[in-house]
Amino acid sequence: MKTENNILIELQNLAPTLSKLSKAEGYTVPEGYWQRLHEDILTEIEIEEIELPESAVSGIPEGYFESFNSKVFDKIDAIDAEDTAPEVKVYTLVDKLKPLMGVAASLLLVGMVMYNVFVPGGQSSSATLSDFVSSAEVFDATELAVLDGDIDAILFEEGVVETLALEEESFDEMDDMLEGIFEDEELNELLS
Amino acid sequence: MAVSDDAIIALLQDETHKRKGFELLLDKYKERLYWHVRRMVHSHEDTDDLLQEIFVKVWRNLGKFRGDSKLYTWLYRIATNESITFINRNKRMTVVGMEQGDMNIEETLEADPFFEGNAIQLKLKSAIERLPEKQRLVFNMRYYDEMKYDEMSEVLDTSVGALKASYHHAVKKIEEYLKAG
Repeated sequence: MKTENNILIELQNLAPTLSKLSKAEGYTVPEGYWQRLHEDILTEIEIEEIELPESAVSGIPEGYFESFNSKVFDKIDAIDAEDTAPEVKVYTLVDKLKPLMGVAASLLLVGMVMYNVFVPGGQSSSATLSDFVSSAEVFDATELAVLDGDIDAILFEEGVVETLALEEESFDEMDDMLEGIFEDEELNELLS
Repeated sequence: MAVSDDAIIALLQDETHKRKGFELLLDKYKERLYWHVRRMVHSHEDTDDLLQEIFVKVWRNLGKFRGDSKLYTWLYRIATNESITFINRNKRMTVVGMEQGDMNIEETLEADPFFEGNAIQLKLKSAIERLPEKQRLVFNMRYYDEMKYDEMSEVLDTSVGALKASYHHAVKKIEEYLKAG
């Protein structure tokens, strides 16, 4: 009460017009506001009391930013290490088998020659080196041709290929036929 | 009969009765703080939002209240700081967004569904709004809340002499504005 009186006296001395005015301000609040405010604040406090994990509040895992720098530097170090490492050649399966394939081909050739020379029905076991070489050439030139022909026939019979390989004579006939075409004057005029 | 601040403080400091103490604090101070904030921000909606934030802040910081100051001045201090922060934030948003840039207090209050003041009350509000922030704050606390200078000194962290001077200047300016018609 004493304070109120002091304030009023002070005001009357300083501002007589203002001191005569009502202190009513004209502000209002919605109906039932005070009760609602009380409940709203207590609800806010209850929510406040529920301790959510940091990740639920921020949407990022706990400690994300603390570990972020080291993760970035780990990646940079990994990239640097890749750049400075010696180049490693990658061998495919074919690369690895190449030497073996060469050895196998050589052994096969030697085996076939040996078969031709030493097996009964083939060349004499007392054959000289020159016989051996010439017999190998014969094998290449004739035996393989026979073998090829046999394989073609087998493939044709089995239906794997639709036509047989042409005989030597067939190529001669084809040449004659083509010569006939090139000598055809009407055709040449038409083409020119 | 209103519960004393000492009784409320005792409950707040006891973990098992903390919530009860807070409910009593709300009962005792929610209206006084509401009007203190409303005089600064004017709109009911802003005051409502701000007041809830203020009380949540009070709840969070109950452990920091040591009883060195009065409960009443501690609450006013939090409310005042939060309101000033809110006003400054809004000022920045207004400048950036150019919203309501030229809308004066009279237009704002006339458009407010929760303002039913007459022409004189509107004029007084207009006069108060023209004051510098510190003088406006001191005038409101002295004229409407009838606070003593030493209490205001605790809230605003300003000397009693400076507060008296601020109030004196504020009253004189308002008187002149009212007399000017």
